[in-house]
Amino acid sequence: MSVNAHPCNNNQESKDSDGDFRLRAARDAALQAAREAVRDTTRLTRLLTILNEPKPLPDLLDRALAALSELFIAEIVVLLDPSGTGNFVPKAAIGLPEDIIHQPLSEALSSYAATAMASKAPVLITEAGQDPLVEPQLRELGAETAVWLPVIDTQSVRGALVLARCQSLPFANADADLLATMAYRIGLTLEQAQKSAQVEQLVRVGRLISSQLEEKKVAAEAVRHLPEVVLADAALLVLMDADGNPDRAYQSDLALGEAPLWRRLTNKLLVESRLAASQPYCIDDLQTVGEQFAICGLKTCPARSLLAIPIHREKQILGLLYAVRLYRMMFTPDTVQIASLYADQTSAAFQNARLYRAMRESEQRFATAFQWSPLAIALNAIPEGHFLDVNETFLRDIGYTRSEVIGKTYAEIGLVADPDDEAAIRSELTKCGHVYARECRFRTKSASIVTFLVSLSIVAIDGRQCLLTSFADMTEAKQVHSEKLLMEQQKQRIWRAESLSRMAGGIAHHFNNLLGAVVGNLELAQHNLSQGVDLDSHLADAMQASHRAIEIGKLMRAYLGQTPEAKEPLDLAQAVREALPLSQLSIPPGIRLKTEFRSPGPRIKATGVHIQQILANIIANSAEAIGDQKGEIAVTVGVVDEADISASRFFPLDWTPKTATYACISVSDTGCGLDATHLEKIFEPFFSTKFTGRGLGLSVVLGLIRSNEGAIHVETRPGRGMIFRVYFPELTETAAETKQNGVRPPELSDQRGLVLVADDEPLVRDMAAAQLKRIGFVVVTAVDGLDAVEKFRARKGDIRLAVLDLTMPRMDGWQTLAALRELRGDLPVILSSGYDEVQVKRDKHPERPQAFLQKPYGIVELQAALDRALGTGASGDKP
Amino acid sequence: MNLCTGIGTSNAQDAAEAGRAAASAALAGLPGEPPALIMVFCTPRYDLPKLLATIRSVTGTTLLIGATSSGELVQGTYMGFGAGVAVLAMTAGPYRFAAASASHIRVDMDRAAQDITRTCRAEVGESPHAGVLVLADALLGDLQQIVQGVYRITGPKVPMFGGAASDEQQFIKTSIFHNNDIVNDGALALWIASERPLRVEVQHGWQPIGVPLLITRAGGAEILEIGGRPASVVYEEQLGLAPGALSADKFWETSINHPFGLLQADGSFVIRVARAKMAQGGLRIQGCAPSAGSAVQVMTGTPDMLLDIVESTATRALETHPEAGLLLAFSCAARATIFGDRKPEEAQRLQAAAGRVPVFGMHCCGEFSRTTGVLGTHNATLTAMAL
Repeated sequence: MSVNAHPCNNNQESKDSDGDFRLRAARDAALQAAREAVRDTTRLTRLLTILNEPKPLPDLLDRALAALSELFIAEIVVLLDPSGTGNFVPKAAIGLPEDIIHQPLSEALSSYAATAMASKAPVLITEAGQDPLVEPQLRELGAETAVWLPVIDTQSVRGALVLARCQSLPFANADADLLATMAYRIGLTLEQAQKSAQVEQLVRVGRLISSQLEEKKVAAEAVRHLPEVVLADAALLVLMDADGNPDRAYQSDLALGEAPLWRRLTNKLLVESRLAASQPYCIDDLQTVGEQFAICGLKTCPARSLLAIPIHREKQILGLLYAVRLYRMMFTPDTVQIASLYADQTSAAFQNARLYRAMRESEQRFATAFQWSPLAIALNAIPEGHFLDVNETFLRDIGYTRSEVIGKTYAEIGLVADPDDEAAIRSELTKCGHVYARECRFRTKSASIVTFLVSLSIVAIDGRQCLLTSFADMTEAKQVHSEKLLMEQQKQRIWRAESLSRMAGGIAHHFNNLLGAVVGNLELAQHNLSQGVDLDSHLADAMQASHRAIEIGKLMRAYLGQTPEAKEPLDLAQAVREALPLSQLSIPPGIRLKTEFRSPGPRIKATGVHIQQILANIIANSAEAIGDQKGEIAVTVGVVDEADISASRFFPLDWTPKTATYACISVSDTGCGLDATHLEKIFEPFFSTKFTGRGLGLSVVLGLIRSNEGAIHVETRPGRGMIFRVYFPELTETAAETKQNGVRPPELSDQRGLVLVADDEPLVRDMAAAQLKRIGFVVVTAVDGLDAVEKFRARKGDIRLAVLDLTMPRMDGWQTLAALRELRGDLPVILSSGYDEVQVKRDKHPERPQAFLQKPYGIVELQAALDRALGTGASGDKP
Repeated sequence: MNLCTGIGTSNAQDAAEAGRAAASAALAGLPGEPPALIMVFCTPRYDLPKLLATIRSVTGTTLLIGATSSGELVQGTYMGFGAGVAVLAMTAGPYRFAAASASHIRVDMDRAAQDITRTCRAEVGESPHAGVLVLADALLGDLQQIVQGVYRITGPKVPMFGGAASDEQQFIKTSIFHNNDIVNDGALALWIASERPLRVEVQHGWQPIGVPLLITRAGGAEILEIGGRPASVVYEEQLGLAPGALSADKFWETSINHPFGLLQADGSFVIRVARAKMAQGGLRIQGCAPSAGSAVQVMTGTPDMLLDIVESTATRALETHPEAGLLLAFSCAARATIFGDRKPEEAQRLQAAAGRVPVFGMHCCGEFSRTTGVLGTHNATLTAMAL
């Protein structure tokens, strides 16, 4: 390719005219000038280009110095950046062999570098090889001319830049001016890099300090790293004691004097002068501080410049952190700011260390509780489920060794005996986040099943979620419970024996009295019969005594809850209202009866006459408690929630609430009250605080309440009266109408036919036969069940009805009934017993009687039973 | 004790035959003393392992260094492309030698250069004076990094010279030799411990044309912008050509005659040859691209201008060393291209200037010669050192 270039061609030039020559010379001169202008321009441009590159500082400096070497034909270029530390080891260099590059290049005070820094002006030397003030390393390397330039940043002179030529080509003043500018640009770069580095250092060192978990180590690390962060020679920390006095002192390797010296300075700065309390304290001549505070020891301290930064915890000063320089070089504002951040980090690290100590103590307490707990405790991973740790109690209880358990799951070990237990616990844990005291059966290593009450909660340990489970071994507790139950049963037996003894005594007392009356009157009647005297009065008295004995029997059955009357839905308030007139008969005139019940009242299912008896007995008891004094008996009817009464103590003792609401009759009196020790016994038959023979009233009350599925609570207030509260389950349905339980008065009717009477008790058998005969029947009797079957077999076509006693030898009433029905399926039968009807009919039997006859009975009751059995009366008793 | 040399060459096509013949001849040229260093320059077309093994079979365990070249300069003879192999055997004389090399150093050439320089210096031990000969793979990239790495170890008192291996201007694969090894993607440093100062001489003969220019953007091995405009456009403008007149495939023909001169503080130029024109307007520089902010001028040179510096280069190299036994020379292959039919003249004029001192050298692809400052990488230049 042909190129239209402009080379210098001597041959052509020789042929040119003088004018052309002058023109060409002018052109060359212009080109040279342009060349030099561009060269000078490019020097700075190139340096700035390099310094603006996004590269690490060492690379930037290396390239910058290489560019300076190239641009200024300098074999040696050295950057000294002591930054006030007095350390003149080159920060970067070109042309210094590696064996000397890490050696200090200049003397701090007597070198051209120091001169340039102090004067802030370039120093040019032409005969460097002979000049003793020139660094020996430069002379050794052959430096002949050199220039030292101050490296200045926005705040201070931070170092020096040295360029040396190994040839006798001196640096021009213009070079020095340009280099001064370049040194400034390098200073700015260094300053910026220093800020970045300090921040990075701050972050890095902050992590180091923050990772320390003991206050002592935090202090040591804070002191160790502060010099590198704030470009100081040494550091020191004085911490205050609990009373706010300087106490412990930590210092870096460089000896800065004894601790008391710094404690004293700290005291002066913080306590007396309050200089450093709120902000960093900075001074470049420590000697003046010594003089100001009269601390002589500071005169011998090598420190010159000092920076003191308070360490805070909230508003409390924990101590002072000192950074010192061995030269008089004030800490720049940027560095002071960095130091403040450093102090904040240190303060936070102290706080962390304190929290960690507290946490560690807490963990130790947990670990101790975990290991030495009498409860078995296990820690499982979530969600893997394997055991992370267990305590000794756990291992002892389940029989496995630690190595057999750790790392395995419950399923892998086969611990849980019943999957249903595990499923229930899982479900509750998922639902509630914890489980409390749930029974669970476990299989031990020896395959025995043990029952634990387990409680689970989710805890965070070492940053991971774990399941903490405690196991309370119920085996022993259950044994204790059983023993307690046994003891309770024994106590109950003793109590019942006592009660029975008392009841037997009471019954004997009453019956003896009544039998005495019967026997006495019959003897008198017998005597009168032989004398031909009228018998009626004696027979009537004997009959009366007998009826009273029957009544006592009924009361005893009522106490036992054996009441034949049917329960019907009724309005309790209405029932009480109807019962009050009868109850009022037992109230002396001085006692006022106060009532409060709304209509309609709560509905219950009960026997109306029972309500009457209950109320009458309680009111009579209250009236007796008030006695002849003036007083008040209050009767109220209301409704209570199950939750309001669940904690009360009730009679019967085994009664517990089963429905949501209860109807309540409350009877309170203003009587003398009762000693609390007697409360347990007031419902026992014949128990009385008055005299023997009394005390069936409250027993009957309890029996009636029991038969109506209710309970009674007694509150005694000695000297202020008692409150009886009777509870019955409230009926929620509204439909049931109270039936009038009218009993048709029996009417004796003249009936005919043959009746079989079977009873092993001759007196009862004969009495029944006599009563049946009086009604009009013909009677055939049998001494027991077998006899009855035989008699029936003989005359089965003639026998119209059979009256069978329940309890007979050889063949009881039920067996006899079945046998008779075998012989004749349509035979009407009356079953008679001293037990109540409900109890008798509780068990299932293939054959049922047409009627039940409660012993003892009279002719009226017998007639009614006959009517039911034969369908001749108003009310039939269907089998 | 003076340095003695023996030089052998061979044009044989077979590597083993050529190696054996050249090595044998070189050893035969020594006056009964054992060689201390074997230096080999050869065409890259040989089976290099075979060549090296054969030479080593002749020279034994004597330290061997060398490189592929674009023609060898041997005692006034220019061995052209594909010509053969030249072997120099030299006694130690007043010198001690040690070499170190490293391959696959592209990631951090600076550090690798430090390592090999440090190693060979340590091996040879202390001496009053020294010099370092550097050989490198020409295709590594920024060869100035190698110079800078070496300089970090040597400092200004130890002169450095040498050249980058060449492959007869193919720019495909260049190799250097170190004992039994063929080193690729690497560099080699030979530390020459000396009792007397060593001096490296460097000249190029190029002259500036046009006006001084400011490189405003550079990256990697490319000059991207000059004066804020695409480098190729400015380059073409400086040559009086319309923008885009230089096609990429024909660019080398022009650029080899018009390299850039990197303007130095003393008014001199360090030559940088643009090897290729890139699609985006950048210019790829062989060996070491100038940094952004550098001042350059487009240069021009005729064979006469470039050959006129040969004698002075040799003379200056030898004038401070009257007892020299060898003149080592590294001339750029680009220079030979420009010489055209006058290629042999450079070798002849070197030997003529050296007189009785044998000249041994090669045409390389980038010359190393640090004389002032740190910059020591050159293009289209001749450098020499007398030993």
